Amino acid sequence: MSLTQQASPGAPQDRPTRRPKPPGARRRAAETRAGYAFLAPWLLGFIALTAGPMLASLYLAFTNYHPIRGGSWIGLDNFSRLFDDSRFLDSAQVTAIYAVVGTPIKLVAALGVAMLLNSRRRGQGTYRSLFYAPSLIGASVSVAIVWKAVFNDQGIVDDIGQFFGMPAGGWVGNPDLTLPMMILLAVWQFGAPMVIFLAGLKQIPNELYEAAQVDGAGPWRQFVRITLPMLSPVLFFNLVLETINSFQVFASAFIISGGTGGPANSTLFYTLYLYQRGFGQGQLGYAAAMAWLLVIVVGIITLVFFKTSKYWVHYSGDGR
Amino acid sequence: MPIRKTTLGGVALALVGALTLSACGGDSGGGDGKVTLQFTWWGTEGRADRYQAAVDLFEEENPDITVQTSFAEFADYWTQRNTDATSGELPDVMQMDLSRLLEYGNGGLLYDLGEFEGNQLDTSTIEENLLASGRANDQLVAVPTGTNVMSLHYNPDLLDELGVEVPDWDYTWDDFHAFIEEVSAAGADLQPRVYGSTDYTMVWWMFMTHLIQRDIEPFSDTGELNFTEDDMREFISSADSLREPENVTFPADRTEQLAPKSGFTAGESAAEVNWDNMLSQSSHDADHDNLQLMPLPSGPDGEKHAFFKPTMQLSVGANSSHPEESALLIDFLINSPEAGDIIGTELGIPASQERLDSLEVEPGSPDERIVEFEERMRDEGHMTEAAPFHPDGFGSVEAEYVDVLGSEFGYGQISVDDFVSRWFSEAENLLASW
Repeated sequence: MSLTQQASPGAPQDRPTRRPKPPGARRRAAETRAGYAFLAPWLLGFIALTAGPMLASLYLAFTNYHPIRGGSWIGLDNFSRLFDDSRFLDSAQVTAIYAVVGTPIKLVAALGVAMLLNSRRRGQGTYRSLFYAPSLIGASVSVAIVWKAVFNDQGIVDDIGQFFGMPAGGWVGNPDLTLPMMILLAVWQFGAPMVIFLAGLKQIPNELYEAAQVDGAGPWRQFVRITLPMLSPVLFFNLVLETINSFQVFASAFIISGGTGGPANSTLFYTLYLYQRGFGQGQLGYAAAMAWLLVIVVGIITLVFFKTSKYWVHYSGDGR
Repeated sequence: MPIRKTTLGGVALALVGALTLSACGGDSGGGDGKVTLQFTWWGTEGRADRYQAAVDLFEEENPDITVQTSFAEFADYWTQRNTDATSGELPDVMQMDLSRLLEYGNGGLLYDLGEFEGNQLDTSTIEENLLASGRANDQLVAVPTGTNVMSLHYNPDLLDELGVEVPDWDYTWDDFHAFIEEVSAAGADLQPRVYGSTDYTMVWWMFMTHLIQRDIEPFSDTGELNFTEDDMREFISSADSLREPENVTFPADRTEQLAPKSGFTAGESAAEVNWDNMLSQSSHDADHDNLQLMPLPSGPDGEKHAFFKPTMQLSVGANSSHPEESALLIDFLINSPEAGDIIGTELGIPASQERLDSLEVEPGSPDERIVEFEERMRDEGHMTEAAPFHPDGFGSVEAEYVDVLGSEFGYGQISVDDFVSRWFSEAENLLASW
């Protein structure tokens, strides 16, 4: 046994209940207190602004609550009514198309630009800022207004289209073209996933590419065999995030359609319809039911992503 | 133990913070005797200019009262008020519509202005039956600003250009259809194309007029429907000849492109059905000072069955901390001659004859045309009916008719039958008494 143990005889075994605190315990308790104190504002905010309203909305989903008239418990009626509601089905369809078509295009655009910006080139920092700029201002009201003007009758897109022999009138009033227009707006705001891709690309060791080049692999092969697998965790992260975002699109649709979801329901996104029902018509119960259905559907989609991720997402060092 | 203590400390800290923050957001009617009122309305810029000028004058006369103004389009306006109502933060003074009055009044959201009558608020200038339109549950919850009448607006210059005559005042619905067809044919080759009118069957108030011309009072006093699916189907189908084989009504996609202007104010439609008091706003939007008014077509019995509808009303939120000052502002807007001159007929024809006589309308202005139109309608005996009863939920079923189903129908996505069955099934959810 060591000398130090003999130097402090007895005490711990004799009086286990009065054991002196190990050094640092006092500081840890202080840290805990500080931690809770710092956490408190967030925690209160979470309870008052997130958890509370969520519970309230869960309750409302089973009532026919109206902000002015009040309401009563109606069980699952809101949910069964949803599936007889043709506008609900329209809004689900619009949102699904937007998510299924828009998200992959946006990710491809983001990855493509990220790869261009990854190479060493003069003024690369400027290019990165410029490409990121649209998504910085992208969610703002002004961009949606400009976007509408660009695609409106006699807007620049209309003029160019007419030059190439397309019928005049712009995209805004044409129900077949408004959703593609919205998807373009979303794709154009690829900055956030681009930055994340860029960070991911920086992490791939250059030796891999050098080795591949020595083995005679061309750019495509390098991309498929090295870049994609090495980038798959980042790709997974962006896919999940962007899919969730695309289900929640609201501001741009609200501005471009003036809150109506028109023309002819072509921009009636799920959240926009939810807002119309809840605050336009005061059917808060119905809107709450829609909100919870969205939570469930997005939850299921995310779960599917996670379950399938083990087949295509590779983490370095997991032996795959 | 220490954890619980610090948690409590944290809670206390957060509460103090929250209270400090909320104190900043409170009303500013503090100790210095100054009062700030929120005043909001729906409408476009033209109306905003008039209201703002009147409010400036009010502030000049009442230096202790500041009025913060805001406005929105009709649909957005009600979304905002519904949101305000949910959080109990309605503006002090707000423009009210008969179609929402019972919803808000029954919900106890509006201040009973009766207590200020005869003091801060002089209502003796308003005809009793018009004033009654602002009462709910024996309380004065809204003060009507005037009356309006559903009418046909037309652009005589455009019609001259197309070589089409305006129908006579006692025209029928068939004459109206012929007129629309003639204009649309004459304007077919113009660039952009000019049409006779939008599909008027998608205007809720045209449906109301149709029912009244057939002696059907749309809603009972308790809010039940007095019309059937067949009545609505018959009305919408009555304009089938305008849609088939070629649609000669103003196209829905063009309406969408021109927004916020209408086809009429953009000069691409020669006529549109609208409330008569909207003529000044349309003239402003179209930048055209020769827009004219005429009545709607006569019913099957050759009578107009037109009715005066109370136009905008002014209400005070029940949550207002300054109801007295709010009543003063309303009194100023409806009774002050200076305010009357600024507002003109923007809020309808002033209800009292006295006020109407003192109203100085500029000769040749849209205001003058509106006053003359209502006088002529009254003198020739076309004003025969009372405005239909507006049950709780009226505004919502109107919005469903115009904004939701009207849009889908305009784009040819739903048939008349779909329109009717969907309206009736929504009405079940939207009308309080169903």
